[in-house]
Amino acid sequence: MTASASGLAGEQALAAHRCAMCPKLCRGACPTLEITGNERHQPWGHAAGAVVAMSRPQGFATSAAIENAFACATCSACTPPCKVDGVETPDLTWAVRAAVFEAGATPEIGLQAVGQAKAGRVPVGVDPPAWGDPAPLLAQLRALATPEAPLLLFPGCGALGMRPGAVTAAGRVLAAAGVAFDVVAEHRCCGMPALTFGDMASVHDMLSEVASLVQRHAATRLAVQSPSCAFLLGVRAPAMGLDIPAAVEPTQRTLAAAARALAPSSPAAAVAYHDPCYLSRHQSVVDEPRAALRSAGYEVRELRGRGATTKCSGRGGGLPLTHPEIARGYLRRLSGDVAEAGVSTVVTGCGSCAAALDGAVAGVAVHELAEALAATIEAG
Amino acid sequence: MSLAAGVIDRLRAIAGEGAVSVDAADRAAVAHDLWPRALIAERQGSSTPPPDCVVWPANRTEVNAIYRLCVETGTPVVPFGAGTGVCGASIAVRGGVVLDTKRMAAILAWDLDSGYVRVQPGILGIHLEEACLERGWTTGHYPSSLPCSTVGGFLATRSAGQLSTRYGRIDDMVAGLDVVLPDGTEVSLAAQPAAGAGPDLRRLFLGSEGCFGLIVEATLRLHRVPERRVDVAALFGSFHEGIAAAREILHTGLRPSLLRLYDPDDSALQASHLGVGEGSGALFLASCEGRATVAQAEASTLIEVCRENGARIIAPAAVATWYSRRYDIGFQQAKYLPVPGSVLDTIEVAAPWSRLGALYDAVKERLRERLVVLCHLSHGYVDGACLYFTFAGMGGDEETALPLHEELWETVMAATFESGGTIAHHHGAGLARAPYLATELGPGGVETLRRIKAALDPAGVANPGKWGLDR
Repeated sequence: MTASASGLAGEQALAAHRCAMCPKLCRGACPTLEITGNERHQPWGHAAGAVVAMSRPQGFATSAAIENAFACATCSACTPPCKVDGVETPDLTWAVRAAVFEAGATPEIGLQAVGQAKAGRVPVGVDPPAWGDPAPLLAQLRALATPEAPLLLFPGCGALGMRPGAVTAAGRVLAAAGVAFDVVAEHRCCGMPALTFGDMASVHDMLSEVASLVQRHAATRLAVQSPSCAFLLGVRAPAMGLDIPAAVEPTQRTLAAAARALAPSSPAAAVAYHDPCYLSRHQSVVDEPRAALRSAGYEVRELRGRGATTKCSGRGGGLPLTHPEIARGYLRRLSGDVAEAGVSTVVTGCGSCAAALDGAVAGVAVHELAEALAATIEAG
Repeated sequence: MSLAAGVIDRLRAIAGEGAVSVDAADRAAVAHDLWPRALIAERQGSSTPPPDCVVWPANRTEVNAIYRLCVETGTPVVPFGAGTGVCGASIAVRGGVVLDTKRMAAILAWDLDSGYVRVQPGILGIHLEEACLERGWTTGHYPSSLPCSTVGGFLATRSAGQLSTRYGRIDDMVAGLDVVLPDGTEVSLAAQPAAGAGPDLRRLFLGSEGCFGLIVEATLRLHRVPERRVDVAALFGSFHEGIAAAREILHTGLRPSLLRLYDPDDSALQASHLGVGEGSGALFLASCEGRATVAQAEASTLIEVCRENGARIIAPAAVATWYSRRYDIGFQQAKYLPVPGSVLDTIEVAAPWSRLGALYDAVKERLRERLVVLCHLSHGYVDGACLYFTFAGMGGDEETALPLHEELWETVMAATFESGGTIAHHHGAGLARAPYLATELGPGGVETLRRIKAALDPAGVANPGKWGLDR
């Protein structure tokens, strides 16, 4: 994913041309299009815009190109319906964002987010954005840890900033299940904000820093709680030729295995499970969180959108920063599914989604997966 | 054209500030549909001129006010659903306002005693079908564009789905219709199983492609989801043998939902996609559906008729594979159309059984030296069928692409007229067929259409420049 003189490297330029000639067969899955009704706000429109940008002297440094690049949560809802050879829709989106960055046109709020992430701060609010120091929370988690354990926990920015309770809950669940774990010595952002805003050099630098951080531990497994971080470290980094010196797994998978050893003390309750995009569509982690909840004694009900058709909470892709109105539209769609499910609790495998859903549906409590598991073993 | 003074402000007053855009990128996104001629031109850097603005009305009241404003100011107004038509019907050839229906996409009411659903035009076909299936019903309307086209588009172009032999085309599914005429007159034709008082005005508006105003609501007939589907696959020695069998199937009174017969060239391609390794010939795919006993009996009879007409019955698994790939044709277009020099298009025509074979022969013979020509029969009727041709040329240079595309259309239209067929089955007329509509309808027919257009749209603002009426 590098930029060329025209703004997109060969294979992504071809992908843009192909996507722009497609009959828009993914359009029914695109939340942005559903919310705005604007024909250009779908993968086809974004690709067509990229083709235009490649043919014009202004390239990707136009308001249209910026809009096309960022009116998207990178939720990948368009991926399952797409069968065009050579087109991977999120890859194309990230390539276009890299071209916008190369053109010096990245929205300022995105550059600020990357700067905060590089400084080791985590998002504690998105609308308006706010940043915090995760060190005290990591210290709390470390109090439950076993130094030098082969399993290393890496909570990631989303969990640390948006759902601190879930970070310590994960530690308590693992401890209760007798699973020894260590905790990263300090917080380092994996580089997801840099990927989100097209700063590919920073992605490489930040991934390398995380690799060095992991190298300092004796771990063979790296459990990553924020789904987008788990995606970047476990899926994207290897594809970029960057090795993380431990086997990366989403913490939700780690918790599912541990939950089999739990002895829930609370009676079964019915909950609905929301699949976060970066777990379900980007990493195919669908069954494990449900299995974990069932192990903990919950009855799991399904939302209308689930697995590959899950509805995005709107927290991904920098959308709340660049297009907060559209992001709120995403949340309304998901909230509709939650309300329709008729449950009093919704559980999700993502701290950012949990934070988004908090208070979104009257009378429905929200738990991140680790919080829900911890609640059953600590009840009574 | 440039808009008259004050039009944008007045549109904003009608639909709201955020529902009107003059942004260049927003206008470019609705500048053309998927008419291959426009796509080839786009590839060559000749973008279709965009409209002057886009407006997204939220309801019929706003639609009404927009049309009246456009009549008052002489502003063209062109409806736009998903922009996936293939004949250029939604291209605003005279500029003006593109009226995007995507904010009118609601399901308004269910009457499942009667098997009706009332919808707004902007709803995507697949979203409507999913809602029906949740309730145990189906529209039975499965065009290959179902994931990317709207009900309004179906109605405006008179589309037909892959299962039309059993469920009919969209014309047959419309029980009621509400239309806003350009002068603001509202036509409300209630849903009825059959309405025999005078001419059927519902049909007047089907296929009108925005030239008579906007269809703002439609009540569609639904069918119970069938209990069972029984698939049949067969090979015929030739396309003509297969045509004879298809005719016999329809004449026998059978109504398979799926009825597809591929000519040998298309069969070779389909066989590789569908995993058919049982010899060459004309591949035939069919499904019978309904109550299990009825579906099974119908399929058994269909097999008998096929055998009587020389078919070799093969494993039906190919049909299930076909269903799993039923919307995939568009992905091939995405792959090949960006290639410089390429020409890719589909043309669907129809003819009575007595003339169908001659029509097929004429098109194949005239174009096979220039292009890859694939053909399948689908959409069977008691009296005839649709022939769906796919044309692909990958070897030409970019300068010859548009001339070749024009020659392709001229040839197919001429062959269709000479063979006694009709030049369109379910893609509509738009710009692609405008040069041929007068011949299709005849002098009296085209004069009738001209007078209807003049009566309903005397200001000439409703999608002007289409059908060749006002050139």
